[in-house]
Amino acid sequence: MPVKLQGAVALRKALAIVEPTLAKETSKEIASFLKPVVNNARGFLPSNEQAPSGWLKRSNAGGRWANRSYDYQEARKGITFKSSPSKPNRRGFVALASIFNKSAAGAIYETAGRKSGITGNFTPRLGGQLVGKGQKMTGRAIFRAFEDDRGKAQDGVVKAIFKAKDKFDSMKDKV
Amino acid sequence: MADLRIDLASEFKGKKAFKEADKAVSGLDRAVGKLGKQFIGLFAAQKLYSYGKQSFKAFAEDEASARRLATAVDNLGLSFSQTRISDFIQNLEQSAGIVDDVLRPSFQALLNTTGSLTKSQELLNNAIQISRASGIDLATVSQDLANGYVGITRGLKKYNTGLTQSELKTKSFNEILGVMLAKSAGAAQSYLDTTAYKMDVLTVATDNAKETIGKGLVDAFARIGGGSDAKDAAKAIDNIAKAISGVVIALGTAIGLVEKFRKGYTNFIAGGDVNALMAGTPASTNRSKSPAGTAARTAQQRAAEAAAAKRAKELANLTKKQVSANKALTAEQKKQADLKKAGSVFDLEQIQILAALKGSVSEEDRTRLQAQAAILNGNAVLATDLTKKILMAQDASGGLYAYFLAIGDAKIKNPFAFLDTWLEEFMNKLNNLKFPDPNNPYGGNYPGNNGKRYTTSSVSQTVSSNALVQDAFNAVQAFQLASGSNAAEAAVLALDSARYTALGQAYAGYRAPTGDTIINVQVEGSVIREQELIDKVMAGTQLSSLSGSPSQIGRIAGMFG
Repeated sequence: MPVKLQGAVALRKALAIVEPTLAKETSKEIASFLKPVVNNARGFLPSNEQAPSGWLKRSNAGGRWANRSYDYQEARKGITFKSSPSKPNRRGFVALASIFNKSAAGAIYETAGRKSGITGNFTPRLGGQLVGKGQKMTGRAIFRAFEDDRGKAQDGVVKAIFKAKDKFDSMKDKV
Repeated sequence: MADLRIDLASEFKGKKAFKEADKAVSGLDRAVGKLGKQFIGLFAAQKLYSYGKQSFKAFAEDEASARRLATAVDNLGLSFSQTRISDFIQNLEQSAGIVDDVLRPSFQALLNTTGSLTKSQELLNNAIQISRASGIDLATVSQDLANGYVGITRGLKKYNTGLTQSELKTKSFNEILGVMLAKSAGAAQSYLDTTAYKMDVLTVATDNAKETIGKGLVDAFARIGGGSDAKDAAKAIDNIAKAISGVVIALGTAIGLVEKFRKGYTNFIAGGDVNALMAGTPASTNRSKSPAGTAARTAQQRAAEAAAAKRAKELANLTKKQVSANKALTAEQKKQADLKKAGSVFDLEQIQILAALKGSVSEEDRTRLQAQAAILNGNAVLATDLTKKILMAQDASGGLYAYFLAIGDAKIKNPFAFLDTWLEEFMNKLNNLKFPDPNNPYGGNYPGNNGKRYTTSSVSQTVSSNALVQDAFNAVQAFQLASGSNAAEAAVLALDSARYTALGQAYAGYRAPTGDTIINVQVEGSVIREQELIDKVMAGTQLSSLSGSPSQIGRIAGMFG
């Protein structure tokens, strides 16, 4: 579960207005903690050769599976991070930093079998390993990488925000 | 498609739904507030009703208590002093911080006993002082003092006066009261500085307010009074109570005025006093309109005081008589004891002991005699001392004396226990003694006897019963034969019957011998004593000598002829 902070969004906004340099530094520092996770997650994706042959892109593909075909490059591009605050979700929470798996194929690879198990003709052929805590935090790419990271990225983000706060406070005192 | 993402840190910023929820909650809050206010109103009304009930109850109890006291005062002939008593109770309630519900019964108990108003007031003040010092409730102290006033001093023991039981019985009430007051001096004054007293004052004020307008308003009055100081709060409560009481009185007066106006208007219409016109003119009695005047009250009080003084004098005389009677009894008992002591001089046993003591006896015997004399005279201390001396002389180690002291101690075993055992064994042996059977002299040891052992009683019973049975059988047979033709056989059986009867009677007699065994020894001739025999022999020899046949004695040969 994500760590809940109070005032971090306001701090980031304040930094962006008052101390853009510090805001950029903070973003960079947060990114430095997220990048290893993203890179690791990308590494868990199967290559086109490893993916099931029937899932690959075909020229004559049609129907609902025409846009769901797997392409390694596309799936790789879909795994990203974001160090700026997000929009509030349905429950009113704003994420200060996030890691995404945006592509359809990447999402299928990430989540296939985590609810109904490794059964049928397709899921067992995907390979990889479902890792994580609970159904919603389990996956083969980003969730596995996040689990392997053992919370270092999360701690790093929080520390970066607190560091920015301290710096901002010291700057205010100087002013 | 579900957005696959991991949020590393987040912050709650709220959203529209929350605003809606907040609005809804605010609305609910307002509704709850409204409901709460309504509930508080209802609750307050209920509390007010409840307090009203309490107030009514308190007033009823207070009225009953006051009525009891008033009746007691009337019965004592002090009806004109009702106001003074009421004032006294009220003042005491304020100064001592004791509610009138407690003061009235206490005062009533004292007044009933003493019959004197001044003495009761004095004793009630004393009771308060003693109660403060001892921590015992005022009602109990008052009752004890009332009892003590008439000579029942048993209840005064619990106040730890330091007086003995006999002193409590012999000393006068005033003397005992003096001791009690001396021991509790200053207690009432020092109690006035305690928080407990302040609480008492508050309690009194609250109680009065409850009695007047209901306890339900007391909390509100306390807040009006500031609530920091109990005394101030009490004063505020009292003032407000009086004010409310005043309002009620004013309201009553206003209603009375309306009634007065109505009467006046009616009289105006009627052309005079309607009631007077209807009733006519009452006859004059020439008596004072105010019979409860000072003179009457004073006279009544003087009479009551005189009666109380008379009663007190009688009580004092009675106590004096009791004391003198007790003294006379004690003197008589002492006299009797002296006489007994003097009489002991002529006690034969004591005389013997004293005579022995005058003689030449050993030191140990002297001590023993002295101990005996001490025991006879009832001198326990000397007897114990001398006994110790005797026992220590016998066993210097003190073991014997220790054993003597331990006599009667349950832990020491009976030294004659072996005798009990011996007696038990002896009894068993006696019980096991066998009566020899003439047919079986060896008892159970005789072969063929199947191990049976016969005792005297069993043998005689068996033989006797068998003989009687046979006798009965024969009698029946004889009767049958006699009724038939065989007369000879019947005669034989009758003889047998007689024999068996005799045998049975013999065994029965043997079995239960009665009376002492008397042995008669018959001796022929006369028996004389040795000296008489000698005298006879001498007389015989003398007679023979005189008749010419002298006796000869050969001492050496041992011959006499």
